[in-house]
Amino acid sequence: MRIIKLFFICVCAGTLLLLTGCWDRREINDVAFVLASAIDKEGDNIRVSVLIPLPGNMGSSGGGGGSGGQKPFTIKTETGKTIREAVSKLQYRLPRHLFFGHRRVIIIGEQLAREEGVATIFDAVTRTPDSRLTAFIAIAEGKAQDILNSDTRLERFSAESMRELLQSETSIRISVKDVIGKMIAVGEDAFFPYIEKVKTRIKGQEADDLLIEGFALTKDGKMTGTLKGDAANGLRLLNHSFRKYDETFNDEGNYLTVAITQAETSIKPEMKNGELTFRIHTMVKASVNEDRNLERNYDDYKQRKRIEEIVAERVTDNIKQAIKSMQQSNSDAVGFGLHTYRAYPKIWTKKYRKDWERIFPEMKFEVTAKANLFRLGMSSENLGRKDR
Amino acid sequence: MPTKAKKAKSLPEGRLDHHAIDQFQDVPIRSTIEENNKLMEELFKDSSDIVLRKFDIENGPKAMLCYVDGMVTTSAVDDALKALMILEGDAFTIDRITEQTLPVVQASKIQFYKELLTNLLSGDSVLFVDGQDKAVCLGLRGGIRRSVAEPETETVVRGPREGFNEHLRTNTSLVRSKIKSPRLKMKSFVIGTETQTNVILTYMVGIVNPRLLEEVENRLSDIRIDGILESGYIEEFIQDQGYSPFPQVQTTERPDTVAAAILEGRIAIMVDGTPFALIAPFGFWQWLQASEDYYERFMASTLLRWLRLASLFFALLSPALYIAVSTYHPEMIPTNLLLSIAASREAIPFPAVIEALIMELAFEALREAGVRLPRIVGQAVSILGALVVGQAAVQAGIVSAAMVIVVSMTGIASFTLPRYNASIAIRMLRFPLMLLASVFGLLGIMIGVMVIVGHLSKITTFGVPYLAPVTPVEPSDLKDVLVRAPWWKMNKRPKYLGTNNIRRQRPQP
Repeated sequence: MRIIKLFFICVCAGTLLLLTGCWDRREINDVAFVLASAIDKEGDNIRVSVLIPLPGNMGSSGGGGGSGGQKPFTIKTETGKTIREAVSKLQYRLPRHLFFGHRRVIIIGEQLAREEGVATIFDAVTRTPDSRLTAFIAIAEGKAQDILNSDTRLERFSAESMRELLQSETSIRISVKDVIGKMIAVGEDAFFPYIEKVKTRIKGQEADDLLIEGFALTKDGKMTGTLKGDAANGLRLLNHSFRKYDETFNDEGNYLTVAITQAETSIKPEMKNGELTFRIHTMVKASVNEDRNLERNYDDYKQRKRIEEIVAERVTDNIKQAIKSMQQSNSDAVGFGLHTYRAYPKIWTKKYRKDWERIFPEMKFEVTAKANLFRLGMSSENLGRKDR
Repeated sequence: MPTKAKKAKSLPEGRLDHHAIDQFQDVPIRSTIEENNKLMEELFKDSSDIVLRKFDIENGPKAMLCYVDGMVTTSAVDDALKALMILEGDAFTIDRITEQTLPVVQASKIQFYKELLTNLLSGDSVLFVDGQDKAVCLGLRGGIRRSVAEPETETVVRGPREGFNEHLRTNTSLVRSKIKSPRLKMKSFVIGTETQTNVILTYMVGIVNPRLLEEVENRLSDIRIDGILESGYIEEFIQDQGYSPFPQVQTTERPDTVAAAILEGRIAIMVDGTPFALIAPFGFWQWLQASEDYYERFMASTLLRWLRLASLFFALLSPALYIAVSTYHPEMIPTNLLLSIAASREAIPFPAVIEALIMELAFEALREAGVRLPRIVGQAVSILGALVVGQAAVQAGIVSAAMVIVVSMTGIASFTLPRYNASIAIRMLRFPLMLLASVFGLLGIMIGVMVIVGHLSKITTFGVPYLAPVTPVEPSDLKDVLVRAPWWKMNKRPKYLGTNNIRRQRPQP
């Protein structure tokens, strides 16, 4: 009796297994993995471009080798009224199913960012479960599709190149979830790395390079300005996760390059006579990278102090420029509003919250800085100098 | 602690053969040589290896010596014969012959045929004297047996290299020489009506849990079968859960393993005719213990144990994980690895499941064939199988390189388990997990693993829960489970064996 019962249970279980089948099964060679997507505005429509690697051309198994003509990736593009419509129209053209689970870079074209804003396209990214919220996001100068189509030589795909660049020290890492956090909060605005494409024009070595020199500022999701050069360095200093960068000074005719390795910035809102001002103080640590002054004597305390003063002055200047740009673009990228809320919650909610857009461009800031030259490198004086 | 006495499976009573030895229970030794001779000749009619040697004791009655050719030490039998044929004195009764004449250490007097036949067929020589109603059994056993050699299935780098052989007395002497204690008991059983196999139960009285001992004895006594040829027969009779894939009794060829187990409070069963001894009880965590662990220093042993645990998971789950992740969850693999796998799978005609099943079945077939290959051919064929076939299959585009890596990793991992019967269980369970993974993905693997763990938690080995001492938790026993505590810390025996005598070391000063 027991055997018969067991037999029937096994038959039922087996039938159930066969009935359900494996509805979700998708072999790896029936899937097109999207490594990066670029979103542009084209008239009234949105143009979506995706970068798909071609495993067949990667030539790992078997002999291969030498046939450099074939690229290991391909770019497909399609338009639509919404992003998802464009993607489904694109799917009609592809023999493999598009899979966004490995998409790690999203590039937004400048025109789309300025006219329509970033906020509307976020729904496409967050609603489907197979998109990564840890994908890096950036705004491109010009058309995003051109950025995707660049012939970067150092990496196999431009997507890899972009991703490495976006997570390196020269840029601030902005992922989709960071942007969402910033866009939702009142008193803070999102900012994005700003990618440009430049060419290497050496004869025989023509190639494209992707350049991140600054950041794009947005207000309510719409791009309102860019920060470049010194202002970008200022934003780096104000940002809560600092990464080192280099600064070059002209010190009495001689150039000096210093690496700013650590920075601690404190942003304090203060109420003076009912007026809100901010006091910003930065402590930076600097180390000398290159000194073209043969006469400088690092044993002399006064000379070292002079370098520190120069650095502190430049740092203050950078921050002031960054704040000025932010106020001009009316984009609170650092989150001064949020700082105010944390310091004076009741006053913020009553007085400033609704009018922050109007008040922020007029805000007054006091910036001070202090620098500490803590490392001179492997040699204490310029070794090109003749011994006395 | 054993809680229920299990009724062992055995043959129904009514089907015993006619010539089983039991029916000679009450047949006495006849008084005259002729009658004994006639009975013996009739019994051993077509057995040419039973020798019935008639002779005259000097100045005395007739006598007959019976023995099995090949199972006695002929020179010793010659000496005994000489002592009788050239008799000094006038001992003509069995009692006086035994006490005075025979230069034999083991001599016993018997009156009934059952004992006589059992002893004769075990290698004793039997002496009948005319006019006496008793016979003498001379323990002059000999015969050629495999010598004590290194055990082939359990080699160590450091440790004794003696292994059991097929001779029970050799085996018991090997164990006895390791534990020179009067508390070491060797209880003898005879199981198997036709084979009359000697089975010896070994334990330390005072350390072993008496209820466990009683349970094992009951199960051994309940076995009714015509022949016990290997300890595996006994294992299947006495284990707790017959239908479980997991072994509940440990097998070993090494006397030091047996001695260590007995000192902990376990029970060992040695069977004549096989070098494999059984040790009960045997839980999950013994799968990861090898005797070498206790001879090397504790740090190395601990790391090796962790390696074995990791290998256990690899051996069980690798192919299933590969199938599940590549088919249902490609987002879990890092992008570059995924592109490499995709590149290697580009031209393969089979889905991942079929590929995995083909490779795994081929591997199992290769392994099985390797057991039976003659040694000379074995080397060449294994190289052929591994390199050429594998490589050729990849190049022909039938299987992908990634699959070959997964299968070889699985194979290597399954060989790191020191207990062979455990690794068989893992090998078997790989296949259902692969099928579950191919249908339900990672969820299927989860379900499979939950079923396996649930099953492991439920089964017992001689009353002791299989996963003890991890569940039910006994913190003082965990020192030998995932780590190997240094010897100065191992001062207590495992509690889950229910021993009365917990302390094994005096506290260090």
